Amino acid sequence: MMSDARTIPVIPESIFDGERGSGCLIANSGEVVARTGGLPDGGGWVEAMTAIRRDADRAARHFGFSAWDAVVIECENGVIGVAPAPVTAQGAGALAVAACPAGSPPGYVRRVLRRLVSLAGTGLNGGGE
Amino acid sequence: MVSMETAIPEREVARLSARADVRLALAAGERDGLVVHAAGRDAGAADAAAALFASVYRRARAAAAAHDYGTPQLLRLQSPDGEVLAAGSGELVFVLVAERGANLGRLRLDLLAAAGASA
Amino acid sequence: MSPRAESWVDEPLRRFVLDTDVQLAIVMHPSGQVLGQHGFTRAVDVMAACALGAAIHASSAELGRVVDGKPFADLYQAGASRQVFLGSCNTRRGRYLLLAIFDDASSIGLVQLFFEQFRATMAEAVEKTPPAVPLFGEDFDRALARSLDALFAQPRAHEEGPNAAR
Repeated sequence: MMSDARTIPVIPESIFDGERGSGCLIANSGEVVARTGGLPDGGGWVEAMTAIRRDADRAARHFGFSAWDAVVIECENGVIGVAPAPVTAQGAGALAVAACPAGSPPGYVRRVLRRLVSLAGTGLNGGGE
Repeated sequence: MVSMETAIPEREVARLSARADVRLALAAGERDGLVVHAAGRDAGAADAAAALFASVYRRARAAAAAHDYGTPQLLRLQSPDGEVLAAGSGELVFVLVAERGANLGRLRLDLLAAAGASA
Repeated sequence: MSPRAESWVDEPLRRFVLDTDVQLAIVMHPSGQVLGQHGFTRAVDVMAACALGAAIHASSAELGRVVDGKPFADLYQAGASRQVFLGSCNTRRGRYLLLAIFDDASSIGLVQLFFEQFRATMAEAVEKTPPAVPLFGEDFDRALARSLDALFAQPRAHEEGPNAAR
């Protein structure tokens, strides 16, 4: 489920420290509530991200981890980072997703994710109504 | 008699599990989540680790495809209690469960080498 | 959904489905009587799955006795796009079967892992619920029809019998 792109708050590109990248926050409902960069618009991509969250939740719970902080996936053509985000009063920010160029260091991806998670916690301003 | 097909993953799992900061190393079927080989002081949790983390790796593959990023080469699940690394190799996925504070750079290289050797 | 005598299986079944992402699941008595289900939309499909599952369990158990001296335990079969798992669990109240059907969203590894937990939650649920009304206190057809009615909340003329007598 996607909100009208004109009303989705825009995440500041400064979270990427001048590098290329895209990111978004996905609510528990599956709605993209904030974004930046050229993420796919198809619902299948969001479902893939939320499926990672569900699986990571399940794996941590049943393997005895107290929680999980992030999943980073290094691929041939890019790096995807996923992190659980706090739920705001609007119900937003259940999942933070970052997509970075291939070869991006894991530490950099984690830093971008932390910034996204922080944005989810403090709310977003600008970019839309 | 051990065939070449099974000897290499078994050897790689043994090599990975020999590190002091590795709690568990295993090779599992990516699709079925069943253990092929496992070793390490937490080997008793191998069945659960194989099923759970093979599933996360399958989800990662779908996420990479949805974003047109090609094949996932390495997955890291980070937790306050440790780290899990996974790398696919054909029909298998190698999974490492590492102690908190482990040398992740070294483990990453070792895991990718294991996956490459078994491909 | 109307209350059922066997609603105690709902929570173990719910947790199993949540943990495994299976598409379809049935908890049944080895006779084929359904106690709980997930994912089915038609009673006739549940009936068919229960009948087949019970028959497969009975014949595979007997095969195990013949070749191995004891019944075979759980059964797994992979198809082109879907897979089937049939497992049994023993409780103080007797044996029950779980039939699960899943695709690539799940795996046999996950199903086996959480089936062990399902066995434990079934045993716990039995301990927490009062003794059930015997399943076969009246004729099997009526009891089966009543279970299906309760699951699908569609009253049927089960008092007259669903089919001609065998």
